[in-house]
Amino acid sequence: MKINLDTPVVENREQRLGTIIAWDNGKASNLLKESSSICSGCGANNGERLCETKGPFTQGSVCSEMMVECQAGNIRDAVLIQHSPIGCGAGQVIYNSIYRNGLAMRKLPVQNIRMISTNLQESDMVFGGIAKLEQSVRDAWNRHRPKAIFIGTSCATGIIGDDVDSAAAKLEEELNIPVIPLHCEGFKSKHWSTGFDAVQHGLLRQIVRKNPKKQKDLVNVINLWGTDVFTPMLAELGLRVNFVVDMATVDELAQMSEAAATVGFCHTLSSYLAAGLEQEFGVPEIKSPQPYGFDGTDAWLRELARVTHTEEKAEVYIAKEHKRVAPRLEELKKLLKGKKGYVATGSSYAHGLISVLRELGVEVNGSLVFHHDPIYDSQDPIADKPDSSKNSLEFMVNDSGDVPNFSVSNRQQYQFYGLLKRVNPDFILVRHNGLAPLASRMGIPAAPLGDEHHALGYQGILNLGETILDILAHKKFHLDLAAHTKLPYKQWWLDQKDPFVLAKK
Amino acid sequence: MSDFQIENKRADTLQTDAGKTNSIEQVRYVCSLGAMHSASAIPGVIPITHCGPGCADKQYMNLSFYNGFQGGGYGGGSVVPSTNSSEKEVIFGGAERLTELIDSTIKILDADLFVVVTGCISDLVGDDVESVVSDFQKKGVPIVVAETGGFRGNNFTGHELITKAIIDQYVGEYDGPKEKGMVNVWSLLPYHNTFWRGDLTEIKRILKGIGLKVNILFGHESEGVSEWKTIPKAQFNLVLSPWLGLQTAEHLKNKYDQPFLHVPIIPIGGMETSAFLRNVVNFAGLDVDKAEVFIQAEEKTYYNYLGDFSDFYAEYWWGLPAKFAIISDSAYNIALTKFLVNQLGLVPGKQIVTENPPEQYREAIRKLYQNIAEDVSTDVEFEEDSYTIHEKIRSTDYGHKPPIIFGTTWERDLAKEFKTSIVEVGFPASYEVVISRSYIGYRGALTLLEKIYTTTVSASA
Amino acid sequence: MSYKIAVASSDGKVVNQHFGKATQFLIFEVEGDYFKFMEILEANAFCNNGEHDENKLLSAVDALEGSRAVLVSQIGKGAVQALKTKGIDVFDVHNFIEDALKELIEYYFDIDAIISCK
Repeated sequence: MKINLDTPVVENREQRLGTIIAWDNGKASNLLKESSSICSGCGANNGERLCETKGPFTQGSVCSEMMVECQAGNIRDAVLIQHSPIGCGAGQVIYNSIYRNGLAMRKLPVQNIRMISTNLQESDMVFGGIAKLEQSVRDAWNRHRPKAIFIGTSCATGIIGDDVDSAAAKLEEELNIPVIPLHCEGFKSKHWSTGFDAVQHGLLRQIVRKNPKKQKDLVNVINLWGTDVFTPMLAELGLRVNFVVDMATVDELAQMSEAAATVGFCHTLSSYLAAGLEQEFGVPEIKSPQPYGFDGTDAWLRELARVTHTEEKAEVYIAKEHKRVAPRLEELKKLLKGKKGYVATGSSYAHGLISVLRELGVEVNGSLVFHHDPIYDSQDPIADKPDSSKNSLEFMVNDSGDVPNFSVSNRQQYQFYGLLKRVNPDFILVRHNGLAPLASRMGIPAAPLGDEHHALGYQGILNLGETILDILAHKKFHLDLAAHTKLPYKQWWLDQKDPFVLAKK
Repeated sequence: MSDFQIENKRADTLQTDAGKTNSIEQVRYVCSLGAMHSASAIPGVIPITHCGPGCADKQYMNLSFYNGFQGGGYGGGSVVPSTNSSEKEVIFGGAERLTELIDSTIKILDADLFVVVTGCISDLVGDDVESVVSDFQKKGVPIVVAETGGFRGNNFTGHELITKAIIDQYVGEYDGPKEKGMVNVWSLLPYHNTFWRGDLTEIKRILKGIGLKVNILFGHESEGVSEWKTIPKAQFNLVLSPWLGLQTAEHLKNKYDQPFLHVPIIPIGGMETSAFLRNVVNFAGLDVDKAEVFIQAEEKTYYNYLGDFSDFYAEYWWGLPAKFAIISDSAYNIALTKFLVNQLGLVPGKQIVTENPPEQYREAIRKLYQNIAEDVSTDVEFEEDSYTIHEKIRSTDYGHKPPIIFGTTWERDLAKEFKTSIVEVGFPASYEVVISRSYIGYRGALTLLEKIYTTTVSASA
Repeated sequence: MSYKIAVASSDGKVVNQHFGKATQFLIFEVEGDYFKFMEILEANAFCNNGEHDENKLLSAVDALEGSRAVLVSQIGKGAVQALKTKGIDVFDVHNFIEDALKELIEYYFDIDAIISCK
């Protein structure tokens, strides 16, 4: 489906990609089969549809506005205006801590995050908040002289109907810097990944250089705050890295259209931006498996090398790395023998992590993803079946194996109990908050991957193995806690075999 | 301007003469819905949020996780049920969704009381949440509702909306006798005041020590809802904070005919805590002799330790902070100012109160600073926008050396600019791990001294 | 810009039919913030309490192609998915038709104003 950049409002995930946030129908391959039915009329699966279960009980999820903070708020020489009451501004605390740590890890100068809340009050709900928005944009300019100003909307401003786009256009002319409205009201999408799309939509429309001078050795790497594993890796191919979106500068974002290729650490995060760059600026999106595990990393490097004409160097690097990591990998496999892991993260990222666990010989007989996109951007659902070179679920199932007990659950802690009880893993892999505390109280340790690149590439296989060994030792803590703690769930619920039972009533 | 150099001032932060605007950069409080933590702070109580999909998690992660890594407790964090309102609720209203959520919540979650709180969406769309909740109340479900609405104030005002809701809808009417010696304590804001758990523990301990039966109401020392049920029986209410809790106390006066004692400065250190306790003894008509036994014993311990500390304080070679700047909410701000001036003899540099106290309380708060000691009078400013706060801190004259800063994570870079130490004492304290630490009363004061001087000393080499 | 909204109703007053059991859909044409009734679309009920004939589902969905949204009192997940792939919004509500339409139209009006501004 072509990305539509003619409107300031990004189409949300469920509209573009048929995203679902709850599913529990067995194996990962079932999810894959049912996803093919998203192409209406192709009858690929005897009409067995991809059905999203919907139940009456939900716990707090995450919203698109938070992802706008996560990305647009983390650009070093820009300012994000949160056009909202003060509550949305609370995210400044979270992202400040993460931003500071991210900067330190990337060896960039540490500074506080720069987000300004328009602090709308009750009267603004009645009379509108545009005047305050304009004031805050001007304050951002006066205080920081940023290279760009982003404006994030909120549930409140979406409901009262503030015309953020007109205000942005006016101020852009006045200040002579890009002023980019990002439509990200929490209620507009059932999954928070729409927030990534909203930011990327704004970047494509107003930041990315429209008359690029191609840089043949530059590769866009779409990531968050991970340590820099890409620079040395791509240097082996004679390529340079342009890290986007977090912690980049506005200029670095503008030059995205000049790159020779775009990659990312997770298709879920990068799908929209990569597809948009290819569609609008001819920057090839590397449509390959993600760089996790041997096969995934080999394929990813080879496709990148093909597109950038660096095939020879890639083969040398691939062979070298396979050889380098082999000895320690053997040791790790011995130490992790018999262990069972459970992954609970975002969609494509989970598919990648499962592959890595299997390289380590860890059994994965259950996992969950927070949502599932049956297709990705840049594909036409009416025509062929989903482009499997980019389909991370398909790659995982075909390459590293099926996963029985595969579920989709948008971080619902109450379901996690039953899901873990089904498979009794020795540990879980997470990135987002909310699930590990429950696992802890069940005696199960977690490896939280704050550094999203930790398990990436060949070294990532070793890294993940080492980390798992570290946290397995934590079991003592969790077992002690589990013996002395009471969960807030009623026994009736804890006894349920099916965590999705309420949806089926 | 100060005599010392402020180095490495960020080139990208400029002086602005815009004056006070609506902009808030680097927040100091959160929205009214954030007060859902006041519900989960009561043992056995679980909040239910009727709001957008991100609110509950966002409020938890900033007030509780990246603020001392306090944890969600039994019924907070990701346990909290939420309607995760979508387009449908915005267009057609969310009452049905809320009903369905409450219905399923009572099947799944085990709580003594549920507290429904609302966010922007439901308050803008006009959902009749009271009606939804009262249907459940009629069926005997222990549940109350507080229409907090995101834009209706901040988590301080939301806190009192929630306490009022629990009092009116759960505790209910009471005509019976009062129990002498029982007190309800209304003090710090749970989770927002990062050290609230340890602090409330210390407050309960010392009030118990002078002979009171203490309804501490929030935190691990509280019995939970059974304690709340006894609120009407208490002999009096104690409002131990500059202003938070006064509305509640007034309400209880009207509802249960209970007098209240307002002590605006939370005591830190021997002198202040003993004076505080004697004040309470007097107000409550307690047994003076018994109370004095406790007070003397506490003072003895306190001054033993202070005596040990005094070797360091008297003759540490490398210089100690002389002036201070405090950027925090009013409760900690005035309490610290009092302690630093009277116990340590430090000199006030700049005090900025950040939680936007209602206008009607500000004059009284100012007077407290004016009378901080017999021979020390200082002032206070009220400011919520960190950019402006930092400008004010920078432009203050501290004399020949920089002040020690008591502030938050937002001030870390400022402290580096000033080449001084920082002690994070309030929201957000993203670089502190806080479990049961207290900084108030007798015991807390000593912990505070440890923290301050470990910070300055360990910076040396 | 005009568009259509389909409403599953047996009596023309209330949104009261389950998508799979609907015997008719009332089609309304909307222009700006004003709507008018256009026609009745006869439908073949295809839902058998949890089971349904897939072909009938698909033809029901096909018949509604071109509508921006459909209002029903209840709908199964398979049907939701099918409608979504056709780009049709679905809302399960229990209002009077007039009230529901007004609310939905007001909402679309606001969104369209934003989308069309660039």
